[in-house]
Amino acid sequence: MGTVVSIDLRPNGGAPVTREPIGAVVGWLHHVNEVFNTHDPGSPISAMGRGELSYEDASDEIREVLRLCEDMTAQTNGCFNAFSVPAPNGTNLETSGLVKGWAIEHSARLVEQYGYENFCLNAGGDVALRGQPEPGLDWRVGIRHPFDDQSLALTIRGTGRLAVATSAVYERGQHIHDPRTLEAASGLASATVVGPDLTVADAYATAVFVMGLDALDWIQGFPEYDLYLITGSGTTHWSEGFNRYRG
Amino acid sequence: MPQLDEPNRSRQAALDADLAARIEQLSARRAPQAPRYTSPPNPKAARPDSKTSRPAKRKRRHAAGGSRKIALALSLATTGGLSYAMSLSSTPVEAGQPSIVATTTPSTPLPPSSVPPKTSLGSSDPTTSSVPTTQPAPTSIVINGGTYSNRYGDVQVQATFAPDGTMTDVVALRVPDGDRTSARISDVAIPSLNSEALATQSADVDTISGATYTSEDYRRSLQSAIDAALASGLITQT
Repeated sequence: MGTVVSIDLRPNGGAPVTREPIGAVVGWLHHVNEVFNTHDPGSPISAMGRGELSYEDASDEIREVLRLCEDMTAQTNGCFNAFSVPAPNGTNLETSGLVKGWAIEHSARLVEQYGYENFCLNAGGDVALRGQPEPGLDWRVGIRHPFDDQSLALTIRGTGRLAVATSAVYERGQHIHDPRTLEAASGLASATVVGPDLTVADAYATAVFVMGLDALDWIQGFPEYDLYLITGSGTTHWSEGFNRYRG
Repeated sequence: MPQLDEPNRSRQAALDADLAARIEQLSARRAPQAPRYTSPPNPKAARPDSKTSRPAKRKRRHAAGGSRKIALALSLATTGGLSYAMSLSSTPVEAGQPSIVATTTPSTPLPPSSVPPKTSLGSSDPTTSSVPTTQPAPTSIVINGGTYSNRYGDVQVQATFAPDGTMTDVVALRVPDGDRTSARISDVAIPSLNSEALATQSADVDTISGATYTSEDYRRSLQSAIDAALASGLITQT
């Protein structure tokens, strides 16, 4: 998946933080990487992309991811599409745009199973939050500024179950394709999606980057999710509901 | 997302049929003699993105995902609790010179912890090799990744590989504000990557959405070690 994952667990009351949930999450993420790695020709997802693994024979988790991809394609009017963008393995099946968020969302459920209620998972800038960092405090998530690496564009505050996903163009060049044209998406420099589920937020962020400012109208159909957009010229735009997260 | 966790059955059956057809089409699309891919039967009404006759363009790598090997990395402890970072490896890097620092064989095991860290400070280290000349295939290969510098400091990892390409250990030799002895895999503490956030704003934040420099540099250094390991011929890519 090409990313660094951080796991920040906050204690429940006076109970010490233990390593068991970390081990569980790490094991799970390694497993996900083996199954969905489109850089590895030997991975199941690569075999499927080559037509060597049928949908019927695929594991439940691959089928779950593909169903979610289809849901996201429908919800985003085709701006998210796992069957269009060329993958590193040379196939046209690329689930990575959804798998990262999905894997972290599942990781959050794993951590919850160990009894933790307050934690922050961050996979390469996509964030899943639960609870609060300390009693009475909000989680504070900085949005990296797309043009100025020394500052944050803004800080999001929130508690409870919250996901923050950002798609952006930084110094390494554009890397999001418009699946409808296969051209590099342009117009936005940074697109942040905030909402309850990181699987959805991550896929939406990719799609919103493709939609551009039209996404502000589109997101009205999904009241649980909000947007904060920075255009290539530096103007900022946000959905009305986003104001609830501003610090 | 409840509507995804509990889809109704008929809808899921239709979705499954659609997906099965799509997956089947993937093999047809790849076959040289096969006709061009056309939109499969779709039980869902009015899909906006009908995929018709779209030849595959593969000039660009899709940087959003992918890795060759997984690697496990840093454990972090913060004042607020326990924090942990791992890397799932990465996409190719543009800069940095990794170096092979040691190989071990059955007769002369050399734990990675005995390898002195590189001390040069630039953004690259010269490639050096200390491959035993008379030994059989090594049992482990230790490679320092390239050093990547950002405004918060230098980032460099040291990766250990088994001959089959499995990465068996990753140590962060240098991380911003870090002490190499405290940054070992799945163990102990280094300052959180969020120290970047502390430096970026007077207002504290708990984490950052959007890729950060330290995580990117960590990824790059590790990737350079993986690339060097593969290029060395000492391991095989599985």
